[in-house]
Order: sequence, then C-alpha cells, then structure tokens
Amino acid sequence: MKVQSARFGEIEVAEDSVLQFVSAILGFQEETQYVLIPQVEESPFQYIQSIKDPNLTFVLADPFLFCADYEFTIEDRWLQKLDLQSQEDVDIRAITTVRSSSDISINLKAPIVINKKSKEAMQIVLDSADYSTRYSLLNGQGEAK
Amino acid sequence: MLILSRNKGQKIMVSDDIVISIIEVSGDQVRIGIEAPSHISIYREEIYTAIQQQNAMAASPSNDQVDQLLQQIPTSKKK
Repeated sequence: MKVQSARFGEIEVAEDSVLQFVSAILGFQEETQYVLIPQVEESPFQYIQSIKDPNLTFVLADPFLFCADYEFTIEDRWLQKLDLQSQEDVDIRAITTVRSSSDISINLKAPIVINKKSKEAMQIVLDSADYSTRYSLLNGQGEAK
Repeated sequence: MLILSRNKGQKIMVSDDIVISIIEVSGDQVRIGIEAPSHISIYREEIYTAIQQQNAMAASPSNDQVDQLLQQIPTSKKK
C-alpha cells in the first residue's frame, strides 16, 4: 500500500507493517494507524507516519538505550488490550521531542507499547512510576532518572 | 455539569458499567474508587494534560535538521 508523507513523500509499505493503535496517542484520537518508516542506518530512533494525515509524524526512541534502569510493569488490562501473550512479543518505544539542538527529550512517563506479532500498539501512562515526560537526552543525563 | 452530593461509602453509576465509589474523605482530599471495563482509560487530569501537551510538542518535528540532531546523541548502552 502507498502512504503519503509530508516528510518522506510517497512511501510504499507492506499492509502487515501497519501499527494499529488500540488506544490512541493522547491528543491524537483520530489517528490510529501508523507505519514505521524503515531505517537506512542503524539508529536508536525511528519515525512513525500517520496513514491518514501526511503531516503527522512522530520520532520514537528505544528508551532502554538512554535510561538503562528504566522499568515498569505492564498491567493486566494493558496486556489484555494488546492481546499480549508472550514477553518476546513486546516492544517498548518512547516518543521523542526534538525542539532544538539543546532540547531533545523522550517521554518516559507515557511509553508506547507494541505487540510485535499483532502490530497492535497503545500509549500507556505510568501513573505510579516517577518518570519524566521530558527526560533529556542531552546534558549528560543519560543515567539519571 | 451534574453535581451530586455523596457520603463516604456511597457510589455513583455512570452508564451501566462504570461505578465510582467514595472510599475516604479527609480534609481536602477524597479517595475515589473507579470500576470500569478495561477499554475505558482512566487518568489523573493533570497527568493526562501534561502528556497530551508533550505529544503535541513531539508531533511532526519541523526542524530540517532533526535527523542530524538525532544522530549526534550518544546512547548510554549500545546494543
């Protein structure tokens, strides 16, 4: 299938690579389908592009590369919603905010949980954990909480 | 807005399947229990707002140099 993207132009993606958000990225309730943009180079970052809105992209990061002790429990209700059966099917990503060369952060408070097998995804909110929505990737904060 | 008075231990039904219980009242603080089907998401309002704002800020980065900026970030634990 073809997807229009303001950033990447027209892209061709496999139907089965579409991420289906069972619970939308907060504030973007209308957009529930995204495609992961295949990367050329190895990078901890990855774009997702909304299928419906060519102008809507997010940058996702692998949070564990920046915060080695990042951890949380995936609650039963989330497991059910994402139909997660096995730990091997879980992928965790954090939404990255790039504001300027000196202000780049990831949201550890509300990560994206992906079921790699079914391609279902959702943004969860870690209500009990004390993680920041703006965890800086700069300023040598890499190891701090 | 519908405003109801409830005592400790009393409940409110929202539709057929959401039950809100007043667990405890002490001074300015109220402890509330919410039973709802799993497809209903429940958030503390200030956290919901903070995350919504952060998402809006993260959406569609317009800076042409995003890719270069991201490439410069060192990771603490390379795979």
